[in-house]
Amino acid sequence: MKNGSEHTLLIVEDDANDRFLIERAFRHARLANPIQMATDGDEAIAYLSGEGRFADRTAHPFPILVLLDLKLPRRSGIEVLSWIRANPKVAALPVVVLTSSPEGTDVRRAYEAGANSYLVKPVAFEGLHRMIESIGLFWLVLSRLPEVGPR
Amino acid sequence: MGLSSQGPDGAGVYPLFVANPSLAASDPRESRLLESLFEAAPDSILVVDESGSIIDANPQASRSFGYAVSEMIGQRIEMLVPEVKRPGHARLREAYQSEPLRRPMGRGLDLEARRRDGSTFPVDIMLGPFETEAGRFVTAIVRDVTERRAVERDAARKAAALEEVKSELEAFAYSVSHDLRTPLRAMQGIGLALEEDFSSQLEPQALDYVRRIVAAAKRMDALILDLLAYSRVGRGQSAPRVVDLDAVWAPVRDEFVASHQAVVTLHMPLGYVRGNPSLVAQIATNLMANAVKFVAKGQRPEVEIRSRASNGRVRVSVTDNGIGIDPAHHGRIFGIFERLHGIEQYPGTGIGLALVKKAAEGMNGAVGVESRLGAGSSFWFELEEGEVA
Repeated sequence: MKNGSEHTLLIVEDDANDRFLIERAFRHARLANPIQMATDGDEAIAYLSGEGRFADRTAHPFPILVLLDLKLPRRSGIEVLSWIRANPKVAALPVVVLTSSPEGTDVRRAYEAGANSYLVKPVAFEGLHRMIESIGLFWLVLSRLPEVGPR
Repeated sequence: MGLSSQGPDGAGVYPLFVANPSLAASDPRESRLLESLFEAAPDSILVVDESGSIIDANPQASRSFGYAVSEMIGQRIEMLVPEVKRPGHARLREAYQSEPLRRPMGRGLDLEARRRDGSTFPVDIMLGPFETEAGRFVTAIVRDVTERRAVERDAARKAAALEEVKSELEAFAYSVSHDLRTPLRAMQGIGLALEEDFSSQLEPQALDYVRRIVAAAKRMDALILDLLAYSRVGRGQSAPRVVDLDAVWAPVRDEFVASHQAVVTLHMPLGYVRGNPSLVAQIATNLMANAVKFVAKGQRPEVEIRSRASNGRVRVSVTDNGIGIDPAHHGRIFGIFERLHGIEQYPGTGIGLALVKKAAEGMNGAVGVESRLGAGSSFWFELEEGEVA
């Protein structure tokens, strides 16, 4: 693996417990990628735009992958996704939706808005571990990802 | 008709048959029959000539419109049409003369008629042309549909209110599934993290407490999921179709043979029912889960599924070798959250059989049970038989 900061993940999640559990699952899966957090839709967009406190790209590197919750305060996950896809500089950024909603309408809307994958958060703890391991294997090891974003 | 010389309101003669004796039926019996129909009809009957003049009207027309029969005769039929509609009505009447057919007037439109006092009321009108030596005539049968319209409006309002309640319930279920499950996931996840990360520092009793918390969170999640499944039954359902019971039951059997080492006997062919395939599958899964669960400790579950068709209905019974149910409880077991046993003895949420009942009744079906304590149970559901093309 190259310099870790080039392999940053952005996790957009409003629930503090979920942030803790996801981060812990990444640690257990021994994924070395640095993790950055955004807690609502507006913050996610500010992070990706490099606005305000996110202007410093050494402290807040542009991510190679976004894990996006759908139900967020302020701008929703779908709005964040649409913003990414509508913005040519970042449009190719891979986005994995990670949400508690198994509803068919949410799944369809997410893919329509340009999600690369849709995962339902497992309630069981072991399930979350396995899911994070799979995300790591598929997206961070096996997949070739595009070079995206202002470097 | 028209043979009597005096109208019921004493207004005078019906001139139709006086002026046109050729219109009167030649057979006197037929004549009397027509007369009694004309007099007794609960709808207004108006006879109009080619020029649009009323040449006869029955007593109900007099009551509905507020004119004496004699006042209507000789007048344009437009006198009974609301003012704003009169020019259009005259044009349509002339067009009708070029293609006179027996048909409802203004199909799909909300027609209105005008009383003497200027008030209007909703009507349905049937037109029937006929020809005699004296010329062409049209009979208009006018039905006052005020009450029916009121009932229709009321029904539409109730349906709209019901839709609103339904979408509110959906929003509620959605919020239950997401907002209630999130903290549960945290309880479970952090409890397990505590156990994993600190097990060496925790007393066995403390570890036991943690496990209890996690188990309770898991149980609550099972409850929420079952409740959601229950609330979804009958929501957004497709039109009923023919369902092959063998195709529904075979995978259910395989699943339970694998998961519970149950001995399952399917007496195929079970036949066909009319319903929603996913609801029938939910009924099958829940009845099977119920059948394999309530066995005495250490006993291997044995389940037999058979069906019987009669009088256009198919009854499927699921018979088990379980502990049986005291007939005193038969009434309550299909109620939601009803449980006859403690959680430790037989785990469950008390929703499965309620879901079976709701799903069956949603398809115009029925459910029931035959059982005695210690003698196994036979749960059944009954649905309309499906016609195979």
